Amino acid sequence: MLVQFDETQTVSARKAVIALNQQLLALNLRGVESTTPSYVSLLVIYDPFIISGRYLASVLTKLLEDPSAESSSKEHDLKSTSWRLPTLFVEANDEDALALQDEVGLTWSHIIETFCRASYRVNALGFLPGFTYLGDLPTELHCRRLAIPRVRIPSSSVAIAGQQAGIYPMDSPGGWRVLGRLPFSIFDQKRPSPAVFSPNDQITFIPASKRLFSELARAAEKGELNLDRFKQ
Amino acid sequence: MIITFITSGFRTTTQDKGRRGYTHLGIPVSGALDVPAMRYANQLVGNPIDTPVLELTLSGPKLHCEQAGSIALAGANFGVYLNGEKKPNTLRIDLNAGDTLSFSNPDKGCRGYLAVAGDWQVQRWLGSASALRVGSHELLPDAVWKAGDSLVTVPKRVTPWPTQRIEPATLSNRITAYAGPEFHWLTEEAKKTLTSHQITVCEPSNRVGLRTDTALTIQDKYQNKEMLSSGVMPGTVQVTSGGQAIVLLADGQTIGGYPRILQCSQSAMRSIGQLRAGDTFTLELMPMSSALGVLSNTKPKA
Repeated sequence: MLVQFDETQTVSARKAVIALNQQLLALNLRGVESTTPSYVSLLVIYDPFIISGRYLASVLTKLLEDPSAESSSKEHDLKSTSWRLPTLFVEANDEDALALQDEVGLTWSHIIETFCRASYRVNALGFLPGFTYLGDLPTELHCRRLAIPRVRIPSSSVAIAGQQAGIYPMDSPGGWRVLGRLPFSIFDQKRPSPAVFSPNDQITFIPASKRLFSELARAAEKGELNLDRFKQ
Repeated sequence: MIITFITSGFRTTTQDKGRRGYTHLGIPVSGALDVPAMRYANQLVGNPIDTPVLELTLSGPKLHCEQAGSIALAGANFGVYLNGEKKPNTLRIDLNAGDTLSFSNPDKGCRGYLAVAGDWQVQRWLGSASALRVGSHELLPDAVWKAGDSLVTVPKRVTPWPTQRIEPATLSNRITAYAGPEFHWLTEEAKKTLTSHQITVCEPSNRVGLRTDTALTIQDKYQNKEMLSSGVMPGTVQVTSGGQAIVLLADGQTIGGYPRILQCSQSAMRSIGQLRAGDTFTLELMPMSSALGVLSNTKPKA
């Protein structure tokens, strides 16, 4: 069952999606198997032999109409973690970096500065398990996807395309423009919840020196990096 | 029971009913594509119905029995051979140590479900033993069977439930579906073509999705409309920018940016999961009210 919000009201719709998702999950309804929040819609996967579509629809409608439900959709009530993530940015003379500087008409240091000044909201996870879609990219950095996707974008790459930023959870082909890389894996199957980020989290990036990056990466590899240190 | 793989077959994986409740992290549900066949096979050997099974694809493995036990096969009509002798399929077969089991390729359907009696000693991830391949990554590598691997199950007494065996419905090439959220994006001509023509499954088709030979057109006003990525699920039919309809299956991604023109009915999913490249099917559009009204307004029991 799909709950679709007004596409033109992206900011309020995104909050409403997260709020509805959290309220529905809090009810712990039997038969509701999985929910997939994305930009302006919430997909609810249910077992029709346990809960009927009609009943589920009435529950969702009630949650949407209930004024007390509305109050809990205020930003401060929504579960959200703020992150500050050290990022090793690629060099200005990197092939992709050169192309991007040409396209957006900014120097590489200006691009990094603009990118790091903004705060990004996790809009959705998908495409790959743990792939983190981030919005909104500052207008100055809006760019096309690569015409020919790269065969391999390394895991933990921070990349941009269109009006979005994103983080790759694993090595994958991809057409986004890579800006840099995080020193740790954002998708770890050994964790009870394998994805580090959740929808509605808030992320800012800070440039990391090569030295800091390798230090953190080494610690992460040994399993000694506590990601809590990047939470705000 | 212990079974060793002499050969693996085209692709033999462990599947159960999948890992549910992780689509918000982008993790597909996975699980058997033909759930009724998985459950029936498990019933035949006296297992709880959602016990893992081996999902055989197009060609079966060759197996050597190291320790006695029971097996049963359902789904596509693979021929079952015990020590080279043909056995009726969809019956329980008791194996002794030293027996070999092999399969001839099916001509109807492409996925067989081999239940093995007992509690499966296999690795699970997020509550499921199902294999999941994402691009070139196997997220549960142990669930993909190779020559030399051994499957171990330990005896487990269960009260059979449901007591009555439920044989899977006959496979059908008539797929029932409901209009999807972007169905109205299609041109009138495309809508007509969709339900009046036979559709052929094309390569590459796999557990992620079925590709088709369709060339559907989107109305001009929606041509350049940038769609915000939104939830998709097994049975969602998307249309690519080239006009090709793709039916998503259990390993498909959880959100997508292509228009979702149809959602296949739950009851059609087993037939869809048995289609292979070259097979044809027709689509029948059902009113949405029939999706909601099949069952009464049942509240979930606490």
